[in-house]
Amino acid sequence: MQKKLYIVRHGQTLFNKKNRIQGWCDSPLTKLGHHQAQATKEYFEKRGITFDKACCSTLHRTEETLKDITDLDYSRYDALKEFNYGLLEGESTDLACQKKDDLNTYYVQFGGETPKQVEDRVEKAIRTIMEEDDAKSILIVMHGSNSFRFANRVEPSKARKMQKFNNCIIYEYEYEDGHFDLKQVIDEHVKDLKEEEDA
Amino acid sequence: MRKKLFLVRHGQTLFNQKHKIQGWCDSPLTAKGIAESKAVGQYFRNRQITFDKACCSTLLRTEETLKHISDLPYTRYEGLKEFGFGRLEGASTDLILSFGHDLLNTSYTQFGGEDPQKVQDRMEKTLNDIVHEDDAKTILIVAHGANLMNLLERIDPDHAKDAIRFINCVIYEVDYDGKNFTIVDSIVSHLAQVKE
Repeated sequence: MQKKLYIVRHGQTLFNKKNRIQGWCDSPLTKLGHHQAQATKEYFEKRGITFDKACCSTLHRTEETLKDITDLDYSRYDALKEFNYGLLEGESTDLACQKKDDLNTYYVQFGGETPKQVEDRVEKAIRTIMEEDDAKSILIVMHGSNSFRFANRVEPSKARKMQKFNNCIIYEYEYEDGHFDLKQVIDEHVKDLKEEEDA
Repeated sequence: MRKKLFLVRHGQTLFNQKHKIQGWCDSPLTAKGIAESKAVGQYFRNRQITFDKACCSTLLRTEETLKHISDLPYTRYEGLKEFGFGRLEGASTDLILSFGHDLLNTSYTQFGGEDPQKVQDRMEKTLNDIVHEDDAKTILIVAHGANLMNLLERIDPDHAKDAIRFINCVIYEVDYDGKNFTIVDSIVSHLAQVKE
């Protein structure tokens, strides 16, 4: 059965705004984060895209974003959590890995994960989500790094070409017979949204 | 109907360990936090205390703690979230200690955080929802340091001052007689053998 999968990155959080490393740690959505999530809802509505099921990670920022996008019931998955950055969690993004070549070892030295570990657990969870029922149109709200890792696992060349970083970007996939086809990475609904003063 | 409540603060998290203000932000339990949570479970098992229902906040650190205490299904409550400290979240706890630890009167609204009055209101309302929504007689609630402190000040001001212990996995035993809440004890003995 052919299915559609939409993976959305959560909206801007306090730690995104403060340039803090945010993996397994978490912070609330900012006003801009809620606007981005609202714009994502409108993007889907305008195109008549509806969902048969909705999923998010156990980190609250994805749940907050999901609730802004849809009123559907949803399931939370530990395995859809962001890349674990270990002791670097909450520290300045200046301390994030600077060289792509170091990524396999960088976070491990702080007690965090490797990209392979993240790709393994996320791929396994998403394959289960795709196969466990007859839902044809599926929404997953998760994270910046892990949604790129997943794309890199199933569509490596397109993932790099289409790479975008904004909060609430949408990865649109077609899925059939265990194969994920990355159609596009969408940011048109959020790229002009601007920061306001959060009172 | 009389009820018995056990209110537990979550186990140590990475941000507790790093002395960062947590509030509505969140971080994973440390190894010590997991050991503290398991010690709470052991405390209850040693005394044959079982629960009719279990509750936690929507922040993952309370859910993680709860799962180490009990295998019971549980319900997550937005109203049990920690005190919101606004833009102070993620910063050093020195910034709170500089207010003399006065979580009840300091204005966090200047940082976009919550007013203590509001936290007490939502906590009290959520607690009342929890005790009235069903017939559960013995209830486990895993919540947070500052919001439990605020809740106890609201529901039993006579005993709150002496009872409040600002440590991870403290257990507050509270009786409910159908009308009033009374703090019976604050328990920390189970934490004595937990290693750093």
